[in-house]
Amino acid sequence: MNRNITIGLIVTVALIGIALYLLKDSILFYSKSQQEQDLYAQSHPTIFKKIINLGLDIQGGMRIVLEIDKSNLPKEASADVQDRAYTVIENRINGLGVAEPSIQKQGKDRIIVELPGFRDEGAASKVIGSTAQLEFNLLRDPPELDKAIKVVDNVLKGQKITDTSAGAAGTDTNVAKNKEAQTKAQKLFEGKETGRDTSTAAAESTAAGIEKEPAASFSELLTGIGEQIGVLESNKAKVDQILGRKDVQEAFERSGLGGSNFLWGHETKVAGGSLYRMMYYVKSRPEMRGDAIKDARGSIDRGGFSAGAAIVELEMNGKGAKTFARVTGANVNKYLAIVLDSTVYSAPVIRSKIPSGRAQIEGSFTMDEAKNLAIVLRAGALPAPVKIMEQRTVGPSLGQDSIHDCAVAAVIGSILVFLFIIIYYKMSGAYAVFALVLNLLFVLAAMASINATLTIPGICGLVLNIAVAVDANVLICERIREELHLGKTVRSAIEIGYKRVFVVIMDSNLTMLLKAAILFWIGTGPIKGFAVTLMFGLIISMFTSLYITHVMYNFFTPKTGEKLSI
Amino acid sequence: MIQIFKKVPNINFIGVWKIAFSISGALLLITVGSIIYHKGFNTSIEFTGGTEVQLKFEKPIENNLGRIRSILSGLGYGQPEIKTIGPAKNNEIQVTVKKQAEGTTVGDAVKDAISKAYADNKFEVRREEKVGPKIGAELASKAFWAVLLALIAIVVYMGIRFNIPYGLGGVLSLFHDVFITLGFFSLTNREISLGIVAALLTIVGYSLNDTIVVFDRVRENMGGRLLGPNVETMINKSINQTLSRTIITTGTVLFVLIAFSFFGGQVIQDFSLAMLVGCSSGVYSTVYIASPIVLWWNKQFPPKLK
Repeated sequence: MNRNITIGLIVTVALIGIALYLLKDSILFYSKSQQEQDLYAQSHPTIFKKIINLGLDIQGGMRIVLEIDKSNLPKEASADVQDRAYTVIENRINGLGVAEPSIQKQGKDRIIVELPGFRDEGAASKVIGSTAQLEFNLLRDPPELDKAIKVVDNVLKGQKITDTSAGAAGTDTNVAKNKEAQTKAQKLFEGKETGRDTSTAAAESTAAGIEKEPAASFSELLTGIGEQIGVLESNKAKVDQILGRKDVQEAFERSGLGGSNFLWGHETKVAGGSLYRMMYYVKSRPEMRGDAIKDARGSIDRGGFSAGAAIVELEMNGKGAKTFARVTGANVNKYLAIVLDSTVYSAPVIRSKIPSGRAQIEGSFTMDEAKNLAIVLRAGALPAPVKIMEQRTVGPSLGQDSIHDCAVAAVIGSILVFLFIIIYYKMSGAYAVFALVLNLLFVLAAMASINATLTIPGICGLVLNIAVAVDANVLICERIREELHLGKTVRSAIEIGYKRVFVVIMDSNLTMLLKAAILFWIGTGPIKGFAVTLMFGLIISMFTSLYITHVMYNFFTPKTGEKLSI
Repeated sequence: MIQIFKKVPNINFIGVWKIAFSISGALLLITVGSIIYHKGFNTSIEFTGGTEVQLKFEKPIENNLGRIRSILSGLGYGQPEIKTIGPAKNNEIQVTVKKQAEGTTVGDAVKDAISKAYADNKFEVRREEKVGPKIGAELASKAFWAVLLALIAIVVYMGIRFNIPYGLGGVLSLFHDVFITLGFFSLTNREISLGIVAALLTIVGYSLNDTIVVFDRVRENMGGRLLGPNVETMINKSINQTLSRTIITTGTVLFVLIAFSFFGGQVIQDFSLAMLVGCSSGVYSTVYIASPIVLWWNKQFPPKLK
């Protein structure tokens, strides 16, 4: 066998292997039923990053385009208004519990929210309706936390609270740590991570005696992480459900814990190989609100022991400074949670009374984290008004109908075309069909590799791609026939055929590629989707039509001698 | 082997270009007339802005369109457009309101009014869209510029790979196809949505491919030259040589599109119709728009013989 043919076959087989590998997650996922898909997505949260996603127009869901109304904002406030609005919206969207939300900034004043599979029509107003609520709540002390956990455990077991002193050991460690931290530096505030020493050991450390408790169903769900508690991300819904129960709430009231709340943290932490969501137990009544803040910014610490570390500088306004002095003075060594729309973003410890209205939050932040926390603080201080510019909701049933329609039409169409080509061109037609199938496989694999989203315009791009690929193969077959009519031998007819058709296919595909590139560059959403699949398709179809079929001809023709099945 | 033509046919396509040109002219005039008559296109709310709600009822609703219309007219958002979607047994209607209001007010009001009037006939919201006028206008202008720039790029590319008259012929034939398709949508008063814009882009791609196949053959037949005294014969010869390919390719594409129009749902049907019209026009325009323009240029500016 000719060396080129061997290489060609190896390349073809290798590419099929790579394509199948790239598509393995997509195939695995979409061969499941709807319920199985939901379950699988819950236990594998990263699955949507590995597969071809279906657009909202196909699978149903909601898309909202928001525009920030800058007309009533002072000039200095509009600089980062988009970041602030983004933070607020992201926070609220995460609270909706959508599998794979996408929130993007567009231009300088727009935010696009896409919620696949989601169709609560009131959600749009929930997302943007009220202005952001930034509050500062004191964290409850560990004994109270332990008591609350016991209360829940007892409700779940159907028992009454008998003993509330079980958490004493845990409290001691906590206080000891706080003291240690206090002597470490003269800083006013400290981030909730209280230094790198504790966070590295976080996985193993148990705080507040939670894990020492006999395995009761609520405390079992909690894990001590650093000095706070974490909940396995997959158990979040379970915890929400338990805490939302009426009997649990009533038990809190009876035990004198009515004025406190469990709040989720914004952050997740990896400990012992699992993803944990932080949970905080806070006083329900906030000590201060966002309107106390004048400004906040991420910055680099210029002095003290942690010089060079990223910090957040916080400045209160006149009234805010007074409140802040009172709150910090009365609660030294306690934690003060920064809560945006009921999500805790940070819970630094109060080191001493802060009378000046200028505070500094430090922790093991990266500069980005410090900047983000500053945005959260400003989001509460300077709410960003947003307007709905566009909202689309596609019900899941319509989405499913269109998937079904598309699939039926595409399968019937393709089978008929493939049959026709094979009947008309016999073996040569079979090579062409093989190339067309590979073309489709490779385009889908390429889309999976960049985690692309397939929309209806994207399918249009694929249809055009297949039409052009069919044409390329027809051109090749017709040309070979023509050359055979002129009396050429099989071998030279094939070679001349490919040589001549090469120019046409290049000209045609390159112009279309140019066109697709321009559409991708200028076009918005749906037109971009069309352009992406078309670009992939054109590049791949040049390869499958001109190279792979050529290898097939070369591989099979020597055996059939001077006759070509065409 | 199965063949359409036992030997290369010799049909005088170019000979009748004057007749074809007048047919195209007439069709374009009808298109313009229809656009004027309908006062522009029936564009979807994606371009005009507005609210559209698609509802699927539990029980038959088709005889109630008048009542729903009068209920919704009372909301103060102008005259809403109401139509049934799919076959009558689907009990599905679509309400389009082009008047704007804050947020999702219009959609909420429409759903609210209908659910109150039809308390015993519950509906499911299949689709709800609200597009602000600014977004719509932006989308339309972006789509326009994208298409225009793409066409200019095609002239430039074809001008380089072939020459100016070929590029011009190619692009004018693309304009022809887009106009004919738009004319069909205007005449039948079908809605032009973003999906149809995608279809138009697909048509442009398909038609361009067809033109390049023929032009490439002309270049090959003329030994690399593009213009000259025998160009008319050569174009005719090239069209004939590629005729069986054109019939097969176009045949399969049209075949698939017909399958799509029958089996595909509402979304695909309009798309397939646009493609059917546009792709047929694309094959026709290669022969009767692109080629005559090359011939005309050849006559006006005959190349100097070397």
